[in-house]
Amino acid sequence: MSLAMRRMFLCLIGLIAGLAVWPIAETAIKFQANFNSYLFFSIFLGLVFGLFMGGFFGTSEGITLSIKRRILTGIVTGAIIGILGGIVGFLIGQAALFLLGEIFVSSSTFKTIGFPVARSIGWAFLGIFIGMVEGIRAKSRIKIKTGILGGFLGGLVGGLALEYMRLLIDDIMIARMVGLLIFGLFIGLFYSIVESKLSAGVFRVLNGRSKGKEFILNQRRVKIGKSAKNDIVINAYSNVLDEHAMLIIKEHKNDKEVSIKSLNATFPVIVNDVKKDNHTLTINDVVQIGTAKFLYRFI
Amino acid sequence: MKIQKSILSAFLFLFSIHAWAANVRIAQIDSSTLLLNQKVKAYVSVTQGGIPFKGLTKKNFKVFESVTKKNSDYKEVPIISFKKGTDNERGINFLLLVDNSGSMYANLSGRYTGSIAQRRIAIAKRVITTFLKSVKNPRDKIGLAVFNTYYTSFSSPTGNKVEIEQALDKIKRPNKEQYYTEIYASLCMAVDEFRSIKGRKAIIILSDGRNDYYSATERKSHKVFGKKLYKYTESIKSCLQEGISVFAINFGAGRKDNYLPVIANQTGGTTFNASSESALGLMYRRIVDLIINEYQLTYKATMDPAELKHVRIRLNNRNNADRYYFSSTIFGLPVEGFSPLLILPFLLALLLLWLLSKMSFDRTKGGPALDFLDGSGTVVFNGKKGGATMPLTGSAKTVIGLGSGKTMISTDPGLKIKGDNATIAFDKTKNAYVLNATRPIKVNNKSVQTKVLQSGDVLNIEGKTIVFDKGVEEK
Repeated sequence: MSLAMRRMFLCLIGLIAGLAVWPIAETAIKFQANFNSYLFFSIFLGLVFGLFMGGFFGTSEGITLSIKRRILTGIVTGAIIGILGGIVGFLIGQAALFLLGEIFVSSSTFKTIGFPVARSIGWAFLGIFIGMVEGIRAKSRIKIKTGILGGFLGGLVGGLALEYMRLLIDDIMIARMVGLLIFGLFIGLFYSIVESKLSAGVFRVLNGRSKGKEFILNQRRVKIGKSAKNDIVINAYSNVLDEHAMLIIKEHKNDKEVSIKSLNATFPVIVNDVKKDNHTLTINDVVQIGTAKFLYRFI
Repeated sequence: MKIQKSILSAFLFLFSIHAWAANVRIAQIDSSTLLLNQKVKAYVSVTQGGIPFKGLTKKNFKVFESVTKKNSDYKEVPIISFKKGTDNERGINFLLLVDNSGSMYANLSGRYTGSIAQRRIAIAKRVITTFLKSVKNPRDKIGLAVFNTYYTSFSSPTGNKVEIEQALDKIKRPNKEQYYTEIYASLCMAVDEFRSIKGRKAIIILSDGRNDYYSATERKSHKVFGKKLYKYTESIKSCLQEGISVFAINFGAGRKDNYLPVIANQTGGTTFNASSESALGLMYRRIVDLIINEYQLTYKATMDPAELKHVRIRLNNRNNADRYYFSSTIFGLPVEGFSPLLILPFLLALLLLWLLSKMSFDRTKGGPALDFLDGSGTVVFNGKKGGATMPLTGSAKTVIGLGSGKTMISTDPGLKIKGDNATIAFDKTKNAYVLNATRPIKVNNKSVQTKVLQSGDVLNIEGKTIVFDKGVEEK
C-alpha cells in the first residue's frame, strides 16, 4: 500500500470507527441520569469509546500488511489500550471541559465560541489517548509521539467540527453522527500526516507481489522477514528467513540515521548489489532481502 | 423544665419569623470537585438590612437542582455538610481597588476643592487606614491597587498591613492623560493579583464614576491596552475564572457605572452606595462581615443531563437564591426517544471493517515493466507523453535516450533516438532482460554499461528513478 493509499485507508478506518461509536455513544448518554456520578459516567463512556475506537484503529496495521492474525491481535490490543486510553482521555477531557466551561459560561459568545472551544479541547485530550494506541502496542516512542500529536490535532479539529455541526444541524443526533465521523476521519488524517513528518523515511517494495507497498520507518527497530511477527512481512518471496534483517533508527539532534543489519550471518542483506552484514543507509539505496528489493527514500 | 422548653420554642419561633425577612444570596458555587466526588459547594450569604444574619443551622436551608429555570423542575438534593463562618479558619484574600481618576480629587459633592482633606481620595485613604486596623484575623490578606487610565498595583494580597498603609501614601494625583476611568480593564488586571492565591477571594472596588475608555475618547491607542475596549463581561469572565467575588462601592455624588452592579451580582458580590466618610467606613466593614459570615453548604449533585445546572438555595422554605454551574459532558445532551434501529450503523461499521480486512493489497499478476517513480520531468514514449509505467515486451527493444533533458523512450524501430542511449532487450539465451548503454549509467547506485537486469533493479537516468520489474505470474 502506497503512502497516499495508507493515508486514505487510515481516514476510512477513522470514519468507520466514528460510525461504530456513534450508536454506542447515543445509547450511553441516554442513560446518564441512571449513573451514580460524573466519575463513573465518564469512566463508562471512556471505556466504550476507547474499546471501539482502539479496536478499529488496532486493525489498521494487520489490514495494510494483509496479515489476518495481526488484525485479530490488533483488535484485542487496540481495544485493551483503547479502554485505558479512553478512560484516561475521557476523564481528562471532562475535567478540562468542566474547568473551561466555568470560565466561558459567563461569556457573551458562550454558545458560539466558548462552549465549542471548551468541548473541543476535551475532545483533543481524548484524541491524544486514542492516537497513542498503536504506539503503545508497538512499544514505540516515535509512534507514541506521533499518536500524541496526530491524536491531539485530529481530536481538536474533529472536536471543533463536531461542535459546530451541532450549531449547523438542528437534529442533534445527526449532528453528533456527522461530528463523530469527522472526528474519526481527522484522527486518521492527522495521525498519517504526523506519521510522515516524524518518520525516518520510507521503505518501498520494488518488485514481486508486494510491489508498490511503502513501509513508514517510525519506530526504533523495524524487523523484516517472512514471519507474521515482523514489522515488514515479506512472505511471497524466496530466500527470505523468518526474521531476516532489522532496520535500526537512531535519532540525532536534527537528523535520523537508519542502518540495516542482517540477523543471520549466512544470509546477509544486499545493499546496492553488495553483500553487507551491517550498513548505514543513504537515500536511494537499493536493499535486497531474498528476492525482495526495497528502495530507501525520504517522504 | 416545661417552661424552659416553652421559652426555647418561642425563641426559635421568633427567630424563624425574624429569618423570614432575611435576604439570601449565593456568593459562589464551587463545582471544582464535581468530577471527582460528585460534590458541589455553595457559599451562601444571608443578610437582613445589609447585616449578616447569624445563627442559622442546616435545618434552615434546602438545596435544589434543576436542568431548567422552571420552578416545577427543581429537585431537592441532600446537604452533605454545613459550615458557618467558613473562611475564618483559612482567612480571606481581599484586593482593595481604588479609583484614582481626576474626579476623585473633587469633594463629596463633586466640586474641586483646595482642601486636600475633603477630597474623595483623601477620605478613601483615611477609611482604608481605619479598615486595615479593624482586620483582626491574622490569616486575612489584603492587597492594594489603584486605577484611572492605567492600572497600578501597589501590593498583591499580603498579611503585612503596614506595607499597605505605606503604599496609600504613594498614590499620586493623576496627570491629564491619566484622568480616565478604565473600570473593566482594571478589574481584569486585578484578577492577576490572585493567580497564586487559593481560598476565598474578593475585590472591593471603590469608584466615583463610570467606565470611561481612554482610547475611544482620545482617539488614540492606549499605551497598555492598545485599541482594545474591555467589556464588562470580560471582567465577569476573569473574576469567575479565579473564583473572585466583586464588591462595589459607589462613592460620592454623580453618575455611576451601570454595569458595576451587574459585575458584582454575577460574581456573587453586591453593590453599596456611600455618600459620606462614615458610610464608606461602614461599607468596608460590612463587606468583610458578609464574607466572614457566609454559610458553606456542600451537597451531592444530580446526574440529570444539562449544559447548565441551576442551583436554588431556599431559606426557611421562603426565600430563594439561584445560581448555576457548568455541567455539560463531552458527548452533550441525549435526544428524546430512542430507536432500536441505532444498531444498524453499528452493524454497518462492522461489515465495512470485515470487508476491508478481506482486501488484499498484494498484486496477483503483472508483466515486465519499467516504473517511473519520480513525478518530475517528462517521459516521452514513442513520441507521445508517457505514463508512470511502461510495459516491456520480449520482442521489441526498449531504447532510453541519455542526455536530452527529457526521458525519451522508444520501442518503435522507426523512431530513432539520437545520441547516447541505453537499450533494454530480452536475451533468450540468458532468459533475462539485459541492459546495454553507450556510456555508463547508474543501476542500484553503481555505474554500469552492461547488466543482466534483476527484478527491482533501480536505474537512475536523467534524474529519473526507473525501476525494472520482471512482473509476477498469476497464482
